[in-house]
Amino acid sequence: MTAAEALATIAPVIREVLDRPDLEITPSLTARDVPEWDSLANITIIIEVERAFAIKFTSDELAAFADTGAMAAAAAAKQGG
Amino acid sequence: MTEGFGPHLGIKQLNVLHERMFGAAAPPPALPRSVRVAVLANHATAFLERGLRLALAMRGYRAEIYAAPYNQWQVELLAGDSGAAAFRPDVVLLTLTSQLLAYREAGDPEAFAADLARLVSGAAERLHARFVVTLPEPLAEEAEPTGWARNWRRRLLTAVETQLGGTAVLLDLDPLVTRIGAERWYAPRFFVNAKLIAHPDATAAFADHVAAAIAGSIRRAVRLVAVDLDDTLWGGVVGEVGWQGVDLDIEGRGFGHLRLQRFLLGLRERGIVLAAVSKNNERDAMEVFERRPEMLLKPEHFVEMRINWEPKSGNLADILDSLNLTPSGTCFLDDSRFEREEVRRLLPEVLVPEFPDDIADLVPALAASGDFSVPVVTAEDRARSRMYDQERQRRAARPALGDLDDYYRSLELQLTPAPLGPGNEQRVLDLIAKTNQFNLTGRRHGREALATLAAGGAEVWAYDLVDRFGGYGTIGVAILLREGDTARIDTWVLSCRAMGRTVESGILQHLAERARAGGARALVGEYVAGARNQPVAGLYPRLGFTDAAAAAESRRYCLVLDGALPASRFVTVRDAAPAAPVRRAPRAIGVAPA
Repeated sequence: MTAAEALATIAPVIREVLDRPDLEITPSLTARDVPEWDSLANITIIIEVERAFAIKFTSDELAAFADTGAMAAAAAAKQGG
Repeated sequence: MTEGFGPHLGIKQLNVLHERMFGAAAPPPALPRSVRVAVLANHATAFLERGLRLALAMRGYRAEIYAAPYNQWQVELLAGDSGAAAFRPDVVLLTLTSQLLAYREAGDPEAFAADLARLVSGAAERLHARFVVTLPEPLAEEAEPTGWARNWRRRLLTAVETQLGGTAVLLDLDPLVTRIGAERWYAPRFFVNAKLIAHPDATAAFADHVAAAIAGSIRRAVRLVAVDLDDTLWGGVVGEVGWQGVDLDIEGRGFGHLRLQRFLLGLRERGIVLAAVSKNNERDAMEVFERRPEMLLKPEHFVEMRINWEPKSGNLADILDSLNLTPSGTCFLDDSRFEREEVRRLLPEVLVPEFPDDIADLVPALAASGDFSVPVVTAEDRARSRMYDQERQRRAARPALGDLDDYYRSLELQLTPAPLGPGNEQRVLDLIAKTNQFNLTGRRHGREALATLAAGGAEVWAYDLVDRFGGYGTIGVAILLREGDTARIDTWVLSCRAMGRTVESGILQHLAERARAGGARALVGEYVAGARNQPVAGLYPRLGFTDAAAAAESRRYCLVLDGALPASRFVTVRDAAPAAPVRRAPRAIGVAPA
């Protein structure tokens, strides 16, 4: 799986958790760009993404997500490429 | 309205439900009660707050929540001007995760527990709030049976229960983790990155567990459980199948019934009184008790048995009347929907739990409800059933009319004073805090105030009462202060269960002796009128005191201590007992299935 494919899976998860059906999801999107994306929403997004890919991020990965693209890349890598 | 909330909810659904009920766009939910909860923790609590708001709403409470800043719990407990203090909470929830304690603060479990107890008891007094403290949760390391973690936590739990048992409701998290499973609970990556005690998806279950304990700490405690017999205490209808035929087989259909019997017996050990209410021929029902050895409950475990064909609501009302209990402290257990509805309709304040389809599921549901958790179990609680039995005998012995003196004399009342000590301190505090009628000054000294008074030379006396029917336990407290050449009774309370027996004359005899022994020439009594202490407005004149002075808020009376001291006619005052030894600490109450 490529990062782009992973992003396509992640996008609806983010839209649903933030209740923003129209939100445009790009690899460079960060929590700072979306008012609804607070720390609690962030954790909720992470575990919904974990569920969608049936993976668990490590503590280090969680600490290193700079943007949505980084999360997609980590998810894709964990899926075994 | 909290439809859909339950311990199974994942965090996504919990967030959605919370937004729907409590979001900016939501109308304020109509809830019958409200409660102010301060949340203090060494982990992040934002999700927990949402869960608590929902779980408390499900129990009928609109929760106002103050969340202390992350890991500021010590400061919040210590500082008189902390956020928690300004919030004026009804309940303080203190929840400390083992994930920090194990590797830092609580390396020495006993020392940590002692610090914790000091912080909590000081704060409980200052904040006038109930404390619910979660016991540190199991660590994943405990999967290793002989490893350090098991030993560490066992020591910590024992120390916390011993030190804090009398001050706070202690909530065991082990049953919670067992119920939802380690898989769903443990998520150290969220502790590392978000300081969460557990996986976010465990939030609803955690909040539900805690909310049950919070509700239990503020609700009027159940004092009496009235229980049906047929298809409740045993399987089948004894009037149809006979005593030989009822199901009491632990390996078969009797399982749920015996489980209920053990549960009720456990309640009785904690001071909840049992009564039986059954529509049966009394002889038929009693045969089961007498002839079936599997019965864990015996007739002597019930303070009242009403086995007849009258409506159960009437039987129950009679029982409450004779025990001087209120419907709101009563629970009624019956498998019949008809009987439950009848009691609900006629005694609406009685707690009437629904029955599950399978009787084997009843006890887990009752235990999880939190309705039966007793915050602090004292020896008085444990002895309550016995005391009710004795009270019935006393009432039977009371002459219908006429010679009260003979009656008082026949009681053979004996009063034993004991100085304040670690063993009676909790009971003394309870009496001072809870006595409304026989309370001369209404002064509600707390633990610290009491210690200060005692250190300043005040005499704090607790009184135990016995009569020929049995013991009443500690029923009175008096505090005597030396002031110049007089001694003043700063506080005098007497439990209502000891009123109407001339016990006050015995206490006065003791106080007068103490005052004179200390060199006082007069004993000064005060009466401060309160909302409910009218019954003792004339106590001092009745005991031979003369009017001394009326100050702004209290009325003073004086008894000169020359010549013969007042002596009680019917109460024998024994020599003071030594300070009572420390009682074994009460057990923590888990509110999850056994």
